[in-house]
Amino acid sequence: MNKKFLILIVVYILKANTVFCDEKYTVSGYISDISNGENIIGVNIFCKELNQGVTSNTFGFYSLTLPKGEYNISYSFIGYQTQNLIVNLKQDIEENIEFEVNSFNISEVQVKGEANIVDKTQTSVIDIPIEQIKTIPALLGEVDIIKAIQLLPGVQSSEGTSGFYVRGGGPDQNLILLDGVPVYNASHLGGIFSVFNADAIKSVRLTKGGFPARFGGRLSSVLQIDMKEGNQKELKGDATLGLISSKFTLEGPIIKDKTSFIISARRTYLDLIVAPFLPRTSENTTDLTLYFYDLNAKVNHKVSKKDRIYLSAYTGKDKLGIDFTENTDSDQSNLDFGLGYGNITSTLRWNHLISDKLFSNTTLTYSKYSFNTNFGINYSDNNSIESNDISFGYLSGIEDLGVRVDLDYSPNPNHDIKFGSSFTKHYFFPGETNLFINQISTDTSSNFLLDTILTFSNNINAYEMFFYVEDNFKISNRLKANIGLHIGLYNTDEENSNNLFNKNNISFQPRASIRYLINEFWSAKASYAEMTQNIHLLSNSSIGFPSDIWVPAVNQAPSQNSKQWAGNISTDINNGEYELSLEGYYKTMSNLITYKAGYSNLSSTESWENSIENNGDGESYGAELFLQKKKGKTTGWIGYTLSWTNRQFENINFGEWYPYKFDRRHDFSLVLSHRFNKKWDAGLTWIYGTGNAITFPRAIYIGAPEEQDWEGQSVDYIESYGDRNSTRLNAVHRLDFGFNRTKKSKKLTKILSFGAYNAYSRKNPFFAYLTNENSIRVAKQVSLFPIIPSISYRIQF
Amino acid sequence: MKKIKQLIILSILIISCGDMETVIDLDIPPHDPVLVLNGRLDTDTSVKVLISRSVGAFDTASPQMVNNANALLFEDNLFIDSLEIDLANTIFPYVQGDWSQIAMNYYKSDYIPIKDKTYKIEVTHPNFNNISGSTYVPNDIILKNITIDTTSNDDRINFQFSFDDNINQQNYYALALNVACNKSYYDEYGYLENYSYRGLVNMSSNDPSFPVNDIFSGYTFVDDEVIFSDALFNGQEKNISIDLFYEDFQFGDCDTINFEFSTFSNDAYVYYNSLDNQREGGISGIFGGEVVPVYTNITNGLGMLISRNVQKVYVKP
Repeated sequence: MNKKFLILIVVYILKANTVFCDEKYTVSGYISDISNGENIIGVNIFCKELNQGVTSNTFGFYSLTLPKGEYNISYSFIGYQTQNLIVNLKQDIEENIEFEVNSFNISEVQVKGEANIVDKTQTSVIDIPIEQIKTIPALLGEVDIIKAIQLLPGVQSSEGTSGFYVRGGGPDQNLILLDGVPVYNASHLGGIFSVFNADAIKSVRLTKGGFPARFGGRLSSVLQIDMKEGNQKELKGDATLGLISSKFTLEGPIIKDKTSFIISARRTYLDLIVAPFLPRTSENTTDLTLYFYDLNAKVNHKVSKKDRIYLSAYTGKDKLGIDFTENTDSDQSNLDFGLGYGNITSTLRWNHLISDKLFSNTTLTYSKYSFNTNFGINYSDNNSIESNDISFGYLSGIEDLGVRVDLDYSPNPNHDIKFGSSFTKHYFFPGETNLFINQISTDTSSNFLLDTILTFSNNINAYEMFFYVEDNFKISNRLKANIGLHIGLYNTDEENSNNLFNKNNISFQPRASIRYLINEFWSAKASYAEMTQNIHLLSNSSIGFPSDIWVPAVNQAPSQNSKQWAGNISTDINNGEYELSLEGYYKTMSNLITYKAGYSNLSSTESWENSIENNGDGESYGAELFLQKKKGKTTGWIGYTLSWTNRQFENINFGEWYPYKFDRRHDFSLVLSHRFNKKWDAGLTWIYGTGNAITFPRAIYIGAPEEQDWEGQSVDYIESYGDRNSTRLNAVHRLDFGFNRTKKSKKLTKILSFGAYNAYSRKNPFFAYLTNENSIRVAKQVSLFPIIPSISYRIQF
Repeated sequence: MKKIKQLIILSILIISCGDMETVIDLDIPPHDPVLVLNGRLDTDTSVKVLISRSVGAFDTASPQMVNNANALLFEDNLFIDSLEIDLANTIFPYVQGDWSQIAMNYYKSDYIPIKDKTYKIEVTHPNFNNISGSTYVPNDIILKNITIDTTSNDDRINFQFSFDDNINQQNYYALALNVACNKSYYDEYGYLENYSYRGLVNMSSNDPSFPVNDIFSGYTFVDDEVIFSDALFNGQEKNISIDLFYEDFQFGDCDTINFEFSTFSNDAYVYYNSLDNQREGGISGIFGGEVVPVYTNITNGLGMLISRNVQKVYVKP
């Protein structure tokens, strides 16, 4: 079987290489922005005579192989001036293209090749230009990439938080890649903001289904976020002063057109604003720590015409701390609480042109997410005779080290073959508690010292490896397909210490996307993808709380699997001004886990393996409508999702299927950006979503009497909840808007931004609970944000 | 700059003053009151059940007992008896939490359930939909190798026994130790002391089938009653070993000591588990776990009809 498969692949590659019997030559090179040298992804390189084209890859590289002859090759990308190159192809040509932005940034551009929604083979992919994201009004003026993602069809979210749920999947089923490195917790301040500083980001792409074989490891989505590479031409700066945070970005050449850098930092200062209002007397002092910071840095260096190296890093941390001290004449006592969490990621990339048809990208990655909390009480008398010191600390997290090799082979315009491999070592530390008690007394017999670490779950190493191969190939002028196979291997050191990989943990994940061009303006697409995920996130809060823990797939909680079918019809209206797609999907998930009902990870001493329900199933299906306006003074989109998402666990809801918490029947978003003139532009969003599914009491009845220790009897009034998640919170809807006033001088660009989040102060539900008010039972809803105005001032130089 | 400062302060004020809680209407389907049947059929007690009616979650009225319903008892689908309300004997259990009491009257039959039979109770009332519940009473378990070690340790006794689990069905067991102790004695100072205790005694065990509820005592389980399933020993011989500490009871001072080994019906286990989990988990909040619905096996109504086969093993006398 394996030999036959290998022979088939070899024959296929040979065939791909010999489509043209004529002499053939290759035009290849990098495409970059003339103003800053940044590589441009997804540029269409199109040969008009042969009606064939390719697109530039993630690193701006392209390779177009054509028969000997004279051709007019056009390079086009939305927002840039189209360039034409007339070549007499009788030898391989290296042609690096520098693109110039259109004078008004958004103007008419002929979009050809794959970037057009009609031509794309893949379903379920959305690119959002970072400039568009920056025009979307944001909470407290903090431009937020994840919040922009939440506005896309097929993506559900919780009000005001940065978690997102794609096509019925859990928050752990999204692979968030920052420069190719997984980010495990993308939220700040418990989810109110995301960790991505838009000033340092170049591109954002969300894949919800029809996953190409190069992606793996998560069931529901891949969010690719690539950092800017740094201006190759001149030193540029960007500083923003906001209501709760300030940002600063500096980028420029170290060696012009060869080596560049970018460094971007952001810090909030809520604690500094609040500090003067904290109580402080001669006897009592209260100190508050409440901030987060981000630091992004990247250096890229062109070693030679064939080699480039990129080194990027990100670190971000949230800190919350309260320190209360009381001094009296006789003693001193102190109470402190602290909570911190954050990510560190770094990437070292090496792009190498093996030949003008074969591009390689080798990546070394490191990622760490950790969460810690501590609580301490200290008392001592002023004579240092008696003291009590009790402290408690908790630490959990995950650390990854990985290497990945990706090869991109373009033998001819009809084939784009990608293949490669990846190896990742995960180190999971799902939680250990440090307990310290030191009691010193005048009565030495009651002195007590305890300094111990309690580990409720073992730390585990897990190893993941995968191989993939995919070909995006043209079958005929109307038919194009992307067929691939992703082979995953997985093991943990607990399950098999002798062999690195257990043959039982090999997964074959076929991927296929096919596109049929109905005519120049319409296409129909279909896709199928099987995915395997070897890690789980255990969470029992309704927001992405930092105490949620990442755990590996083990015997009690095997790897999660999904199968997704998608069908799509797309059209291009008014020469690319509008794009419209309607997509239906059906997804099944298996081996899901969740905490046992009633379990709270903040109070339990159970290991996580004993605290879960396993072997859960999930299903999600629905339809997504996406109408995007890409050109003109007004741009934006309308997204609508109609969906159903259900879960089933043997021991939850008595084994019956129930709606997932984020089952969202209707989800609508309107995103508009309008440029009035060179000085003024505005953004507006309006969202509407069905309320989250919750479990809420429906009736009350008398339970059975129970004998008590005090030899009497008691009864409870029992609340009848009906089925799990059978009640809906109220619908969420919200209007946000923002205005930007830009003032340009020779050296500086100054932008004053102001706006409002939740403009009509809708009380959107965050969660609800039942309580008694004046002896009457009422349901109460907690809402997070009323209308919140924002203002920020930005200077670019 | 001054204006910017004013805007910042204004924004903070708006954020901090915005009321975050609102009384809301939720889209909860209206609840028409239904009959509630509660009963546990034990093999050592005649049949008795309680019948009441539910109220909606937001009703101001409390749930009430129903004393004029018709209740019929069936054994393996054969009619056995009508349950009659016993108005002569009213119990007044406390409503947990507020110390008020509620008057309750059982519907009773003299019939004592038999092991390995299925019982059904049908309840009718002119103002409510008919309801019914049924439960299977498990068969006997033969307890073997019963040993009591009172000499190996100064501070505790060890009690062991074993039994064979039935491979053909899911089994749920309960174990409790009942004592009745009453003894007068003179202490070391010559004062007359009276030791009296009647009830359940704490049991300590590291049995993997028992739930883990303790980490500091050296035992994974410490409690006066345990319910466990055969998930870890289905179809095998199971050995149980428990320690009883003298600080909890004085073995020598007790006249009556017996173990109650019960085999529960499947629905009883699910009911007790869900009830405990709801009590422990409380109402779902933002940081809490999901709420656990209490299991009901009453068709068209609420409540539970469960059963258990009780076997008593007397250690003393």
